[in-house]
Amino acid sequence: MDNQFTTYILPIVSGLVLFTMIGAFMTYFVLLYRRMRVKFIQEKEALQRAILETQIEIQEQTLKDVSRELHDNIGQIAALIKLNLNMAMLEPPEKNNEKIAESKKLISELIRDIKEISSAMNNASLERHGILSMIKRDVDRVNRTGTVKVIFNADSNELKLDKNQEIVIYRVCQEMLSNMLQHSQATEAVITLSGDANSFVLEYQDNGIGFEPRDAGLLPSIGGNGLQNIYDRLKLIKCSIRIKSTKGSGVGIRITTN
Amino acid sequence: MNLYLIILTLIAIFSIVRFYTFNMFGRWVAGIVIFGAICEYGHFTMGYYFRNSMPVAHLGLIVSTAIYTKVYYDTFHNKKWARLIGILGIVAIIVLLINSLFINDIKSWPVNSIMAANFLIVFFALAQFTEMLRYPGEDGLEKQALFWFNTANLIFYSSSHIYLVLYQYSSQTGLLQNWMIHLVEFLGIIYYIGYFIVLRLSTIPQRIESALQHG
Repeated sequence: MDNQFTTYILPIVSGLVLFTMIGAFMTYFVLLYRRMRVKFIQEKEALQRAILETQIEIQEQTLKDVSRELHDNIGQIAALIKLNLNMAMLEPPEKNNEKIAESKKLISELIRDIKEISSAMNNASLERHGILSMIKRDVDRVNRTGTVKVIFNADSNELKLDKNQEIVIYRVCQEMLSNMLQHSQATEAVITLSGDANSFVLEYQDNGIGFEPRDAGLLPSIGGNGLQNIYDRLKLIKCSIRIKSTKGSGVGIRITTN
Repeated sequence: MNLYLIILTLIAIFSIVRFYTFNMFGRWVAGIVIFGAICEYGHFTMGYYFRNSMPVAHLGLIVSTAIYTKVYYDTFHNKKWARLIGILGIVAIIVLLINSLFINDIKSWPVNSIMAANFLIVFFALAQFTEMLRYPGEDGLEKQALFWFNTANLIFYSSSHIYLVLYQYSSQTGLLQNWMIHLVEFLGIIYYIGYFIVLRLSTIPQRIESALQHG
């Protein structure tokens, strides 16, 4: 009886118990995996939709910036050149040189600005130039307005964001700069971007009038509901945002990878 | 030659012939299959010439534990888990070496090493299943080589562990039954068929392969 137990019953029972356990585990795993896979696919689709929307918004913002640049900068320079040339025509030829030299300088400036606008209008700019040079270009454009001084710090050797992260983070920077120009009344701002694809930090600080966080969702934004849109998109690229601001004390924003 | 050896030999030949068409994961799995076949034939050869093939079992366990550690280390997305797998694997290899050299006689069945290696690989498989839940893919499970690899390992190493204990007991008490040996061989067949599916799923499609070759 004892021999029969060890040679037949024990292996059969232990084998059955083991295979039942493995079977139960595998069934549970397969069911759970299916659910996780559906969630993953839904999240991926949401990310793709958000990225597409973000790309459209980047283009719209770029066009808006270009339009402002054409009106405020190119138009002004062209008008100045015209004025110079008109004055030169009225003056004797020996006094023309100064006006012509000034006009040539303005034309060079005009050509440079037109090149920058052309580059900004190129849809593939972000992909081609990368996030750092795109933010730098926007910061330079803001600095040229003369109303605010923006400092941009980035660790260009270490920073390697993936494509989706670049699109969303760049859009966030665009939004921050746009809101700063329109609402903050700041005279100085600092943007810092550091880290790599697995872990990066984007920090923004200005010395403007600040805002009450409960009003944050009401700030105007292209094609969305202000900060709520930014929150949602950052969540999709596994980032979180912290905003520190009260009326009169500027705005501090910190975006980090989760 | 029994069915188990025939199947193992065929899959090992398939692994050698198609080796360069597999992705990196597939190549390591092919390595496990080829090494498994070498060990099986090594057992026969050693047994025939020296009347003792146990050193092959000792060596086989150490090498295969190292390969499993490498394969699982590479498949983990989570760096902390990958590091844990690496550390556990290295510790296990050291323990197996100490066991083979000083504790378990190298000319006897490496029962301690088998038990330790079985536990380790079952742990790796379960950890990898958890990892798969954390990072699901777009493909269904049936199309994922890693799923079949884990399933084959989980079934084979958890069940063979129990049968190993039973086998030990039965052979010591003289109650060893033929069906026990056949059952272990049957588990081995399931295991290598699972690996064959892994290899089929790890084949780089012809178009991609040709594109890679042409830069």
